Amino acid sequence: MTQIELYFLISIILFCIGIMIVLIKKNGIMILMGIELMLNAANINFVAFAMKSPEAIHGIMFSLFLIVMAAAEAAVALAIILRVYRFYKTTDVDEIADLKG
Amino acid sequence: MPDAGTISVYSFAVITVISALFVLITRHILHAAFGLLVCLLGISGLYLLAGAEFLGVTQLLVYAGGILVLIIFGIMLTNRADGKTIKAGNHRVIPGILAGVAIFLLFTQIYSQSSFRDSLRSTENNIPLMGHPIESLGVEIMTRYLLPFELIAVILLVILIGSLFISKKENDTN
Repeated sequence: MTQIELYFLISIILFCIGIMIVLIKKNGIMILMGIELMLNAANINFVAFAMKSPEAIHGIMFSLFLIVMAAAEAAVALAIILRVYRFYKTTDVDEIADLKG
Repeated sequence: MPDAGTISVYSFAVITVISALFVLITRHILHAAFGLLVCLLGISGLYLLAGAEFLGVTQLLVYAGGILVLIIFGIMLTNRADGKTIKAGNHRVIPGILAGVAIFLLFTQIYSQSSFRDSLRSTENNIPLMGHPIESLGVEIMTRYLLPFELIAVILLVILIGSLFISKKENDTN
């Protein structure tokens, strides 16, 4: 297995673990951790393709912007989780079912 | 006998995958946060070995230094510390694992049938010996990527102010 194939494999595994965390865990902060893992999987893919590309700077630049967006997303998600916790006194996503039809 | 670079790549890969699995299977939310920290450190090592030094250092600073601290602050603020251990329960375990395995099989199938697979395998990596110089990265940011760079700065400012506004206390308004 070459290095780039190993990077693809890690990316796929991290993405699947992230999806499993998002589907299985009840706590809102754990779901946020799963989303971070999936974003990192996408970043590893960009870096792996940048290893092969003659203009590798594009892939690295895209990953940089993605890291900044991930930071912004984490800030907003944690603010929403804090607000929900203050209103419902829980972060369990199963108990927050007021809009359930 | 594999060389030192190959051994480091494989060990960072093993560290990353095992700590991600630890985040999945642990029920203690603070342990999960520290497992995520180890996972992000492993990914940073993978970036360094792929010749993306600046990206690896950025990963260390922003993810391991910033987002992890933010997540741990969130855990501290949303779980009452009354002496009990902080648990995070599971639900829909079987459908979740089935969905994850199905997506894994789908992605490996897509990769094994992709048209770029043979070309990736045949040629050598294009990693420069000294990595990508930071100088060219800075020049690119200030020339070709100037508009996205400014836009991401404005977006980050707006989002941070907005999240402050969302998370402030209700009775502070009057």
